[in-house]
Amino acid sequence: MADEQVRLDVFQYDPSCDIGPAYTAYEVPYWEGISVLNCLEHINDNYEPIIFQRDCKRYMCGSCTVRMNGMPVLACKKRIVSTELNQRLKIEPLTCLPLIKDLMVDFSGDLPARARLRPSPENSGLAKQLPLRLDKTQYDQQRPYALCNRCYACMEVCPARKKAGGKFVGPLLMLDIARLSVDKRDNGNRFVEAAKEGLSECRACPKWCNRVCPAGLDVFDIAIRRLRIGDKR
Amino acid sequence: MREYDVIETDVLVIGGGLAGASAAIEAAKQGCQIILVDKGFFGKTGIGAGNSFGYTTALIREPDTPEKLIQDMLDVGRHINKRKLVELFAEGIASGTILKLEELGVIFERDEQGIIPLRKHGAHSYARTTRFTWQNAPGIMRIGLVPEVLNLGVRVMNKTLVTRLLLKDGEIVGAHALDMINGAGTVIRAKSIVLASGNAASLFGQRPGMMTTGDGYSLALHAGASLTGMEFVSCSLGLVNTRLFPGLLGEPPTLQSSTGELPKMYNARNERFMERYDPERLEGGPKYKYMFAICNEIREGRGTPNGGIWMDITGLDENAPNREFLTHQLGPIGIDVTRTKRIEYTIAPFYFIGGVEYDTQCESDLPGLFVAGEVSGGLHGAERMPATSVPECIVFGQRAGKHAAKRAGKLSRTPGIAHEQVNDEQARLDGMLGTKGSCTPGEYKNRIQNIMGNRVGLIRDGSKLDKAEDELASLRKDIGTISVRSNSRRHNSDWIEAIENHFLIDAADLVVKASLTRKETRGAHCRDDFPKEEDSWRKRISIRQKGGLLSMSTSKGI
Repeated sequence: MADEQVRLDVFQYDPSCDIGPAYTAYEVPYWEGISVLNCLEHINDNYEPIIFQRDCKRYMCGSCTVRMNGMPVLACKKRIVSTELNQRLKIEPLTCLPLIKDLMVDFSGDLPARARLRPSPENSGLAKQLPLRLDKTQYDQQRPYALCNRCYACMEVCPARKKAGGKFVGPLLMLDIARLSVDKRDNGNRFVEAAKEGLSECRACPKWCNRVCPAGLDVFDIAIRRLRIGDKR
Repeated sequence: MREYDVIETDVLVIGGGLAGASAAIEAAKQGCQIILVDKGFFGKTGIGAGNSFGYTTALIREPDTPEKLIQDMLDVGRHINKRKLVELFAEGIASGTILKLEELGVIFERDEQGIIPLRKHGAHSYARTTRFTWQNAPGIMRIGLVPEVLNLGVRVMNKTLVTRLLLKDGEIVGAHALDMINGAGTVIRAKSIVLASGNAASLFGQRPGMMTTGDGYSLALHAGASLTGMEFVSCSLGLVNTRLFPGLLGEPPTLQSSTGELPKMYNARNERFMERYDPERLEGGPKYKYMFAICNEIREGRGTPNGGIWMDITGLDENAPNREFLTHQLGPIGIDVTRTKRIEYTIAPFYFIGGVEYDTQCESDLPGLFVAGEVSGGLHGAERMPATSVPECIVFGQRAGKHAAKRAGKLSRTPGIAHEQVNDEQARLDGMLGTKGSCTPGEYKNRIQNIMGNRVGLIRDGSKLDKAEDELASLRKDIGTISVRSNSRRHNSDWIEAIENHFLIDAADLVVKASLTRKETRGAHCRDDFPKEEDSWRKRISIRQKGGLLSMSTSKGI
């Protein structure tokens, strides 16, 4: 496989001054296991500066999400496979967050909604003791929420979020509400909140959220279904 | 000279990781106005957000006692820890600081009876640790700390890089920061600063993250603060193929089976080499034993051609505590842990035991500069115990926040800055723009990494360290020739990387000079030419910058 090249068309755009987006074609030498992030780094280090985001390089921080041929992927996790060497790979930023430049989107947009997402154990009737009286079922229920790295892949791909034009906050933000709805430490009426944030807009499309989740989570189950099943406490 | 914004706050927190977030929460609860700056996107950066898969010391359960935890830490730290800080740490654990995170939405493991099953890590005399899924620290950040920081009205400034601390009359008065997106300089005036900027992991090849470039060590050094223990860098293990997977992947205890059986390690000759180094405990012995063994096997030519050893993972059964972690991480690079028998591992330096010195109020020797987390030094002595990094960040992050707030409460006004310092700083930074130099910032960083990798490994010696010192000095002379391909201040990633290279080379110098000074082997600092632990060296080394030079001193206090 020597001398094989990965062929990429990379989106470039500075909204503050460019008329519109442009795509630049690059070729990056292939090596087995090369990731999209490796390609971007190669371009930036050896050809010309391009702007993209990354941190942990091991699919835990959820910073490097981009679209490859239209589908959201974690750039550090997505390895180029041999069948993809025959195509041109289009690399674009997410559209569900504001664009900063090229492939970097503004993840600070994820922060405001989370301010109110804290359980209120003092109001929940849970005894004031440490450790809190929680059980294995609760731990098992909460686990998947901790494993979501907020990469926005599900938000990017969700057709209901796009269609509902702001009436539906999208799978990730609904996941935040769902987490608290099954939390015995919380006393907020999260089901009312979920309804207000557009829970009914989700029509369980072929569960695109699950298909793209890089953490392999059953997003539909933990973000939507749990809320629809209702209060089981 | 160019214009810059000047904003004002009570407490400025530099770094949005576990320690920074904890400090911001505590200071905000005291009623202070807080600005938290992060050079990435808050919640997605640093070791805590993306490189942590371990356990956390959380609970002291009878017959364990805080005093026993203290003894363990002093023992592993080889008795050069600051005892008072160790006491504060133990007190923090005993008083439920970690358990209190469950009030924010974090939840630690529970068994069928609803009890937290505690795990006993090698160096701990008792079972003390638990976790919030295998993504313990990221979970604590995302679910617990980030929402609470926001809930308390802390102003978060993302993509903001602090480049210099500002002083007046020997006290901290603020910091100069760069907006990484539009390149504007901002002066943040503050009554107190909590420095929680993490480590300099980027010194050692492609290991944890890209963002931790030793900023805090350099900032503190140039401000005149004292640092201690920079010679102690803890090592762990990762794949030999760092290009394919740069992160850490755990040590023998991480890879234990569901029944606690540890993986066996083999060299290139298929020998279970631990039989020579620690025949009784083998892979179950103390960390310094197996880490030395691995390093020695490799350097004596019995390592694999790629420079590693074989870790046998056949025992990693379905209910092994970290089976899920390994599957999640190795699956995407084509390693099926259900079928793979052995993985090629090598040494990976990763944790900075030393750092900016602080007292029981988390204040450095610069009034107004508080520190917490991995950027700080003195708690762990010569080596850190496992499962103590996350709790260190939480316990001391809170403490730093509390005392930073207290100081802010006592000051009636935010002290003024000296604008000449800002002008000097902006001139320094602007001078890097558009340089048509001899190497890219990435290449320069690689050179630093090569020096550290070749000369400052787990097993050190004087001649290699001398070479490292010379090579770094030579590299430093070239720092003005780092290419910054654009003249623009906007979105200039070369510019940012060049600035970070300045931090990195300072951090490298600190590690090398401290390592040269300590002529013995103690804890994580291992010297071939001085292989014994010497009583005469049962003390700490402190470094401070005086007149542009590094000045060393030693101390023994608790």
